[in-house]
Amino acid sequence: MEINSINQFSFKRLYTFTKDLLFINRRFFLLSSLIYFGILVIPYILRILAQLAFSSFSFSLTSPSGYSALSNAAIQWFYIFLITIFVMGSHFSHYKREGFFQSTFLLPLKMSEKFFALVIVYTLIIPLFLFCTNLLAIFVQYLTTYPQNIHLLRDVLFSNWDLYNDGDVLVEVSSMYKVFVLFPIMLLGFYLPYNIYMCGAMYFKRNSVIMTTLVMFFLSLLGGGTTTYAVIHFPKMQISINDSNFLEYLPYLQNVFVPMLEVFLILANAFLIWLSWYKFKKIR
Amino acid sequence: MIELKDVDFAYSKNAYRVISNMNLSMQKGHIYGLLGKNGVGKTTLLKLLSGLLYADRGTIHVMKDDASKRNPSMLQKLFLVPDDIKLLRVTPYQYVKLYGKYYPNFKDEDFISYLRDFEVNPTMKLNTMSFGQRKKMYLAFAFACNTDILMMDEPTNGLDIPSKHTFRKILSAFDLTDKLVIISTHMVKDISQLIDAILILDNDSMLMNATANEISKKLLFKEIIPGDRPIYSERTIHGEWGIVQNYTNEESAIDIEMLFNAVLLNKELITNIFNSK
Repeated sequence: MEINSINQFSFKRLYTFTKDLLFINRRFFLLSSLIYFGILVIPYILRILAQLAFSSFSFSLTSPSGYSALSNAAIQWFYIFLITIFVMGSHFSHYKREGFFQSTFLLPLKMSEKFFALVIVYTLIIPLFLFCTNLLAIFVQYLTTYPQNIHLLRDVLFSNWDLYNDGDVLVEVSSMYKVFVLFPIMLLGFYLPYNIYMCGAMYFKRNSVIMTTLVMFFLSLLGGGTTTYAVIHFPKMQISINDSNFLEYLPYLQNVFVPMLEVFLILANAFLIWLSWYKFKKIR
Repeated sequence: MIELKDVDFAYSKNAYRVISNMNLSMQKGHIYGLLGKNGVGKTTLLKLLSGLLYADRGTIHVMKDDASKRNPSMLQKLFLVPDDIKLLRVTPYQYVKLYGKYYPNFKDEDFISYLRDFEVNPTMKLNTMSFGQRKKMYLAFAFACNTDILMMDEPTNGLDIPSKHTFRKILSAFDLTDKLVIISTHMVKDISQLIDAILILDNDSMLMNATANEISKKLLFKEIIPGDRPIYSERTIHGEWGIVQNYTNEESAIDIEMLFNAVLLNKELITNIFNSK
């Protein structure tokens, strides 16, 4: 092969290296997802077991009100942040221990190929995997909380299902809208802390695990805490499908706010990835 | 094959320069022994050559490639065996499957043969191996990659006596026609029979870069007798042995440890001898 062609970006090499990284990570991958899934689902399973054992036992982790659902959502996000920080922290320290940067930088691949493989594995696939685990856990939580609705499984999956559908749906939106607009927003929002983490990892190579974990911990505390506080102290934030004011603003939300949020998240993520790349090239 | 021009390097802006204004040229067909006291920058130099570190000033070219660009064309012809080996939780076979494919001259059969020579169990996980076993596995991988440039930082550190012998046996069987090997070590006795060129690094600069041929033409390693004017001498149980300037073109076996001490103690004198025609 000509030297020039060896030094050009190659998707084949990117694919191969990404596959290798996934293979190396496979145990972390499955284990962290399993732990994550367990943390989210075990309380619900315990409750069912308790209910089965003592028929008089009555304890609700999620009350069927929108207010409680929202605070629960905040707690979920808080969970996500904490667990993912833990997972990312252990990944990074794992690779520092394994001499990851040294062995990776010496592999005969272009720096951009190495970087994008890292981005794909750490900031795309791992969060996506955890996100799917989270969705699955929520689904299990739903079924265990409302077992009487189990016959509505098809509806839950394909129709008017909301993450916290409890008969008092916050916003009814079509499945297509969820798939193409809300889901990408959630993912993009989800990638933001990961990209902050990656950036931190690149810039504070030596102390990244401790520093970035601390920063992310306080960010998540702030995010989770503020949302929960707002939900508890401002009950008017509860939105009902019958709320005429909200319905009036719905088109504005859907047509202006949501696309703007999407653009912002895309730009923020792209900027953080570029910032990481800028440092990655120069890392030594 | 390797060219350094006016290279400066420090780990941070305010830190002292590990390498200062260094000029160096290394040619293929040699096994270089890179010697120096602790902390003079041997590992730093290897990292600069492999592109793991960037020079603050000057240029480093490895097979005409700028080392700092870390181009695949350069990296696939270069292999660095670090002193501190950290490996993944995989078996040697899995390791080869993961990384062997990136080196165009990598040969599976060579790797298996080297593992056998080093008596490394190919089905054992690397993280469960002892340091010496891991090192042998990594050395076997490095040899099997068949790269044009092979750099090793303290390769015999952690190896038992039979493994050191195996290491020497493999390296001495190497076809060096188009290859360059650099061995950085403190254990010169382990490699004294192998190296045919010597680099001696002192605080921030290169004190010596000479082939064994050039050294034996300029210096004579002999028992010191009255009337000799030794550059350096040591009292041993066999009498006083030392180094004198070779005026008679007599051949002698190079004692690397003695040479190293002589160069450090008589920097200017040795530099003058090697600079004179």
